[in-house]
Amino acid sequence: MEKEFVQIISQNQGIIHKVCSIYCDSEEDRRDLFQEILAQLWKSFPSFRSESKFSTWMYRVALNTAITSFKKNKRQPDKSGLGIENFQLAVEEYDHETEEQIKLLYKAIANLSGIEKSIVLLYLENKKYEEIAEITGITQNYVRVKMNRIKAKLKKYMNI
Amino acid sequence: MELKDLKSAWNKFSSDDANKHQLGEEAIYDLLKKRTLNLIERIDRNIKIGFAVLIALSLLFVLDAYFFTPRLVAGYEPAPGWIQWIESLGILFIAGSFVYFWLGYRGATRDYSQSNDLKKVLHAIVRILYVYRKLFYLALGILLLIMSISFVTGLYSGVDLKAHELGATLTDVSSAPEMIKTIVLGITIFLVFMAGLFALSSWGFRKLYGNYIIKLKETLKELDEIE
Repeated sequence: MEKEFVQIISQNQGIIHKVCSIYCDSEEDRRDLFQEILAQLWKSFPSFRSESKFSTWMYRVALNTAITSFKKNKRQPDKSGLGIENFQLAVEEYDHETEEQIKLLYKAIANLSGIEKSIVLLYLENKKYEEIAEITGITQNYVRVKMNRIKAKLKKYMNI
Repeated sequence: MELKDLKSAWNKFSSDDANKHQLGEEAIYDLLKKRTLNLIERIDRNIKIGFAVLIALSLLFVLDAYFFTPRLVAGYEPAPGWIQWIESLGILFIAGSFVYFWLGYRGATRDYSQSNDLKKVLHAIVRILYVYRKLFYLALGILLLIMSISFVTGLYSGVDLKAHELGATLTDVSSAPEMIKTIVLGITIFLVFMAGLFALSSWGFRKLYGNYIIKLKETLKELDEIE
């Protein structure tokens, strides 16, 4: 079972990296959260039933782990959403406009609550409201309501 | 600019970022094998250790009161009935606390391990943390209970011994102003010590997990508002 698990995680690990990039503000936190999500997925793997898509289940476990994660670090989180050095390394290959957009987006997302972050991540990942509702366990109607509020918040933080 | 206009920038960046952090199957195996315990697993380990230590301490207390002292102390005289009652009640309290604590803890961990439902998980973590705090208080309570009983027994024996030395009755010695002053001072120091220990443990717990519990409760509140 371990071999099957590692193979399937290896193919879908992008989901964990995306969740980590939204919830962590340093590479150290990111490594810790990646490991914690991986462990939680492994523990929950026997209970996975093919009633839902694997990616849906993986998003749910990863997001729940990120929302409930405990940070040992006592310092205040960097509100840029990512450690600034890592962020600059990561975006330097993009044109100026894209770089500015991503920076602004991360800064704005860093101000959202854990649940709001999960909804906005899934929205940015082009998930339909139906799937967002399935992953987060919130009704479709409320996902719509919540998404409208999140959009307003992000607009405010991004001054757009 | 609308949020949906940022989707393409996000997709490009997040995919590149995920690719940069991509791990091979070997690395994933390694992470699974070498992983560190998460908070709940650490708490689980600490609770089990704490539980074992408390059982050992309580057993020692019982053995000392009913086995070692009566056999090893020369000229041992059993404590008066009221002290024996206090000791028995103390043991009953410790046993009851263990059962109560263990039932609560098992319930909370069951909800945590069996559920991918965020609300249930949040409730379970908060419950586990509160049970963990209870263990702190239980440990302190038991320690203080043992100390209180020993204090009362010691005080009684001391007064009794003094009465024997002076050839007086217990009532004469215990009502003497010096003796009353000593008893009051002893009780005061003991109460201050108890209050200090409780305050210190509460502060330590808040410092370690206070902000985390606040974060979990805020998320729960947000979920309640959604429903």
